[in-house]
Amino acid sequence: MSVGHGTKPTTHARELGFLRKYIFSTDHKIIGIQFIFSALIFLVIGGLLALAVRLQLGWPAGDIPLIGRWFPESWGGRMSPEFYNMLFSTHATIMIFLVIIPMLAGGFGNFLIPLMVGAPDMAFPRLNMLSYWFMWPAFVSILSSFFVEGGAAGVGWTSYPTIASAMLPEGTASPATPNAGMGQTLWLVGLICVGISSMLGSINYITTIVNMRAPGMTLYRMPLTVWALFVTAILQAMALPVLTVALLLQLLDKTVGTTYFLPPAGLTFGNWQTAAGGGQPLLWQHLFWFYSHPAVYIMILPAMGMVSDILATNARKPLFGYRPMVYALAAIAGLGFIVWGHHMFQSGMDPRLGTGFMIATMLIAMPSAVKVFNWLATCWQANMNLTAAMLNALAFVSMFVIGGLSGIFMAATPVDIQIHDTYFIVAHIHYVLFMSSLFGIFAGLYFWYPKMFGRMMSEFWGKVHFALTFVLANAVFFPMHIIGIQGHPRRYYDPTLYETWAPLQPMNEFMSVAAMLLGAAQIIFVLNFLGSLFLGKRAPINPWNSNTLEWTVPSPPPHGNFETTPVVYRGPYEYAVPGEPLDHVPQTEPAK
Amino acid sequence: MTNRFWAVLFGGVLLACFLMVALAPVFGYWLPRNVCVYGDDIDHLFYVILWATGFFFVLTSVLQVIAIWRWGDYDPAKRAQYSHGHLGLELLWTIAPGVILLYLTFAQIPAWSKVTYPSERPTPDQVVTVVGRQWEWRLRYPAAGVPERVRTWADGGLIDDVYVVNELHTWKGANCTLLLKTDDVLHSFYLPNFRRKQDLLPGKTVTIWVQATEANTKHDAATDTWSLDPAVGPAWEIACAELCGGRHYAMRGVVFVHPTKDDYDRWLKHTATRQRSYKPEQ
Repeated sequence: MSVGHGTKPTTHARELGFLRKYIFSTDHKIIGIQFIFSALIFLVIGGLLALAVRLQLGWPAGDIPLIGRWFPESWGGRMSPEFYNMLFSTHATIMIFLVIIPMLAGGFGNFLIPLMVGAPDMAFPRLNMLSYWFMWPAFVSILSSFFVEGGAAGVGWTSYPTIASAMLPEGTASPATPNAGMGQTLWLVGLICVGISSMLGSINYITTIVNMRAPGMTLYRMPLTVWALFVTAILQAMALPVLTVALLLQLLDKTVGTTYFLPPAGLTFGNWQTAAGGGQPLLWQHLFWFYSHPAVYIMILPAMGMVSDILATNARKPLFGYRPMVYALAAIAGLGFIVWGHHMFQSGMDPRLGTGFMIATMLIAMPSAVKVFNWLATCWQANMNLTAAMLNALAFVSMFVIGGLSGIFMAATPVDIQIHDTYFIVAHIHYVLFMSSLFGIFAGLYFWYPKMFGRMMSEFWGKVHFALTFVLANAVFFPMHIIGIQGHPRRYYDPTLYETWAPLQPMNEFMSVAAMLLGAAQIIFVLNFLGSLFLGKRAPINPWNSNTLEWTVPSPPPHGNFETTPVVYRGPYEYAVPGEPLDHVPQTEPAK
Repeated sequence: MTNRFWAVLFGGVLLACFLMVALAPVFGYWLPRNVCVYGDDIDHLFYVILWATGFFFVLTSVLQVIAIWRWGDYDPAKRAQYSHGHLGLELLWTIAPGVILLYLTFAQIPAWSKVTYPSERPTPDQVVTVVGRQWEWRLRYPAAGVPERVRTWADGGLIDDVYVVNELHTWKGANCTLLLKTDDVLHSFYLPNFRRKQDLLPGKTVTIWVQATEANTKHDAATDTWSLDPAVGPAWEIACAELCGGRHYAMRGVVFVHPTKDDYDRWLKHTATRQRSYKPEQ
């Protein structure tokens, strides 16, 4: 069954022109690199937005040096609350939908899946190209929304109705304008395009993994990266249609005047009145979180898979508990579909429903614990090579522990009453998405860069970048737990208005200074990444002495990947095998 | 020996995180003072989870730092242990966290049902309708006692209702039932000192209750005014916890807890009289 149409050798004789080869390419590797480059560019944009948020929180409504004159004059060169709302909303939207998901699923998924399963390309190369180009309407509409009347969407990345969807008889603008006017419509259009892109990608990944594995590559010989991307693709294919439909419904509410999220009595904004409705604002939250909770796993599972491979390779030791790791991935994905209500404990949903969602949510911590202990056991009695990739992977493990453990607080419904919508949540999501997913992405980039571009990144500067990022990111995000325990609400323009939270200002200032330094430290990474494209050492075929199939082909691999279809004889983690002459036994090494 | 450096870096950062949690209460950065009857239940559960998660945090951190210290000096001549797993260990670290998580889950249910379940709600001594709007809280008090039909009263109101903006008045020990409504967008009624937070939904009335265990308000007989007792400390505030637009951060209100029902009644009567005698030209 694993003998798909990948058996025929595919080396292309025809040279493609620059445009077909690098821009409108159907080669999975080029498409993967396109995803990675655009995600990195948006990582910079999203990061700068985050720094602007920190600027406001560190020095609320302070005079802003240099860029102050960009802000509306009515606020005297200071940031207005509406603009602040746009900043954090767009920051989150960009980081989630234009950076982490496209980077992991689009970038690494595209580049690695065919190489790791021994296929010449994806099952549907043109669909694959389409999935990348569907990102562009999203890039354009989200960035351009800052320049339309009323500015960008400023109602949070969750876009809860009725603030996001309400519409007055006069036009599309909600009374909450400038935060939910034309910018919100563009936000919806952009995200629908992202949704279509991801759905096209996930169908491709599932088909490729099921049908195009090389001979001998049984399911339980697949590297965990492929397993994780497989599970992620299934999650995406099943959950994304729900979000895409919800986005369409809100778009209809906003443009043609349907009332899916408008309550029967309509809404009153001062002396303004909307039309009567017939819908339910809470419906959006159910539809939104039915996708967006699985989305949290879409944003972490691929990183977990990559980290598993990077840990085993650099620890020079077989991955501890391969099958439990696979089962844990599947369990996280399966349970991920029945926990969405834990975002809604305080939403006005029946509290008895909250009890059920709490039980499911607590259970999901079990497979997460299994993964952490297996990673630790992989490092135990190992022979660890602490490369830049390995250090980032190790950081992924310890930071995921913090992000996972803090999740238990909010899964506990009574405790969640106090910490819901506070900085505790902000700390938690950043420990999962920044400290875990992004460290996983850094690890993956350091590890597979040689295969992508044929050159090595600087190990020294990689380690400097890692040390600074590790220390500073903790300085930025860990204190958020503390101010969250004190109840500091998220999405607040100026918390110093409150006697309860004004004393926290020194901590806010500390986090802001650390965030600026953290941002500056990323310049090292950018220079290392771009500089190594031209100045890096030429990469050998297998610089890390790894076992998986992508390390049997030249760096970078040619179009069609494999000269002849590889045959797989063993699992991916045969390191330190007693009696073998080498420390590693590649998957293609025939059994004796 | 760079592995020692990295072990120290990991250990140092993780230790700093640990110390930050351990020392935060010493510097006064912690849960705000609790003044609600069920606050202790919630805080207790918070500490139970803190201890459980703290244990696993220390355990995993120590294991990781040891591993980096001992086995982080890569030597091509050496070989790692060749092992694909261990069934006993897998069972241990599946079942042990599972048992702890199940305990934590079921420990939550009594407090959750006590605070939120409609069936567990105590008989109110006082009812107040709270309407959130962009960007203030409008509170409506019945002039005399608890109305017979609370929901009908909440939807319609009576002619002698007393309206107050951004101030919740109750008295020590009263079962204060709040009917939360909004006419525009989502808001969330958040009382950090009462460990209570509830979203307001357009088109719905959501009922919650709080009960103060302490008072913070004193009456100045000379001027016949009420103010917060500075001896109690910072104000017990009302905040909005669900993004509701530009002035979301500015929906600040204050809870006034009068020492006795008589004090509250006197304030209510005073406020009602003042409202009814209000003339625009004043």
